[in-house]
Amino acid sequence: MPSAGGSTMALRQAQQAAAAWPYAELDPQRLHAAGWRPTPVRDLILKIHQRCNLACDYCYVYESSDQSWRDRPAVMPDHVWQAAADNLARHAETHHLSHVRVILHGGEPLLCGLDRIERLVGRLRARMPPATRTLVGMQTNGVLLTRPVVTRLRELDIAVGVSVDGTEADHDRHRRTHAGRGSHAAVARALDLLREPANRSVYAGILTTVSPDTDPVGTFEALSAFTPPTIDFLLPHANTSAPPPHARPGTTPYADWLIAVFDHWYGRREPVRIRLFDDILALLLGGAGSSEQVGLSPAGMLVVESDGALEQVDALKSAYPGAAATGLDVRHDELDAALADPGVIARQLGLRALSATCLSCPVVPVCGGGHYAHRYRPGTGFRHPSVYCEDLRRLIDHVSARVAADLRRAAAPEKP
Amino acid sequence: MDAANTSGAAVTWAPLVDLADRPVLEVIQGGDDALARAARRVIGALDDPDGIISAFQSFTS
Repeated sequence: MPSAGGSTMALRQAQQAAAAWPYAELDPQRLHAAGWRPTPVRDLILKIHQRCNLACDYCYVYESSDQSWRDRPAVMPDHVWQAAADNLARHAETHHLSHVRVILHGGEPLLCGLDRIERLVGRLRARMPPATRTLVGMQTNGVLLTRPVVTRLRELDIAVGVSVDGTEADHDRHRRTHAGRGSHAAVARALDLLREPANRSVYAGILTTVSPDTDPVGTFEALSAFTPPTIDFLLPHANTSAPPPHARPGTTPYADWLIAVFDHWYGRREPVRIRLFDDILALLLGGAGSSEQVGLSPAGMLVVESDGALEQVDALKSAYPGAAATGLDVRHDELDAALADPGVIARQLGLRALSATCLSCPVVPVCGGGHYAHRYRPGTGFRHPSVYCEDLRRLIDHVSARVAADLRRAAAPEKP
Repeated sequence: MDAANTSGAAVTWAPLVDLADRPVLEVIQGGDDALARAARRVIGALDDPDGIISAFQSFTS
C-alpha cells in the first residue's frame, strides 16, 4: 500500500488549511540547504490498546475534536507492533543510537494483556542492535495494576508511570469509570505496590494534570505521599479556540497554582523530582529541557497508532482533527520518512519555530514558546505565543527570582 | 500571524546573577536541594547541550 496516495494528499490539504504554519509555510528543503538536520527518533510511543477503562472528562484522546480512535483497531495487531519493533531497530542502527525508549500507551495499555506485552518487549530487545540500549516504559491509569501484574512488569523491566490527579476527591471528580465511579482507591493500591522496595526499580513516577480549582499544596502532599521518583505536572491541552478551562483575562491561575507548589517544594533537602520545575531550573542555569512544556530542545518522539499509522504526539489532537497525522504507516515507511514531515520538523526547530513576539521576549530561552500544541490558532497554525504565555512568564520570573537570590547568597564572600 | 498581545514581552526580565568569577560552583554542586541537582544536571549534560525531549518522565532526569 503506497503511503503517499490520495488520502495523504487530502490530509496535507486539510493540514494546510488548518495550520498554514508549518504545513504551507515551512520549507523543509530550504532548511536542509541551510544545513539543518533532523534529530533521530529516540522515543516510540506504541498505542497498543485504543480503548480505556476510564472516562476522564478532560481526556484529549476521547474528548477532543479528533475522534480518529474510533476508526482504529481496539488492540494493536501483532503484525503492527512487530513492524514497529523492526522499524525502530533499523532506525537505531542507521543513526547509531546509544539508547531508545519505547512507551506502551493507550487508551489503557494493560487492556492489551501481559502475554502480548511480553512478546512485544521480547521482539524489541531481540531486534535492537547490540550497541543500543532499549528502555521500555508504560503510562497507565493504574486501575489494573494488581500485584501479579506489577511483578510481571518488573520481571520484564518495564518502568511504570501512573496518572493521578492529587487528593481522592479531586482525582475522582475527573478520573471516573464508565459507570461513573471514582478510580482513586484502585490507583492508590497500585501505587502502594509500586512503592514497595522490590518494585521500586520500575516505579517511573506520577503524571498529574494541573487544575487551579484544587489546593496546590494539598495536591502536592497527596502525590508526595506515594513517594514517586518524579511528578510530571501537565498543563491541560488548550489553544486560543479552546482556552484553558480556568483562564480569565488578566489572571494567571495556572502560574499561581504552580508557584504555590514550587514555593512549598523548593529549598527542601532532596525534594521529589518535579519535571517541570527541574527543567526550568536547568534552563535558567543554561542547560536544556527534557519535556515539551518548556525549553527549546528538539522533540524526538513519534507515535504508532494501533492501525500502524505513524503520528506526532496525541496532544496535537487538542488542536484540530488530523493535527497529529503524518500519512505514514510504520509497516511501510521508515521512521526517517516522518522526519521530513513539516509538523515533525516544526517541533525540532527550536527558536526557528517561534513567533516574532516570542523571539522578542527575554524569557524565550526558558519557556521555549511553551508546549507546541498550546501555540495553535485555527488557520494560521502553530507559530504563535502559547495560550499559557502569561502563566509561563509569571512562573519563570518567580523561579528566576528565587534562584537568583540563592545564587547571590551562595556567591557572597564568607564573613570572617 | 503572531498578533498576540503578550504583555509579558514588555516587562524587563532580570538576568540571573553573573557568577563568572565567583566560587559558587562548589557550593551548589555539593548541595542536596533542587538547585544543586539542576546544576549537576547541567554540568553532566555538557556533552549534549541541546537535549532531546522525551515523552516519559523516568528516563529524563
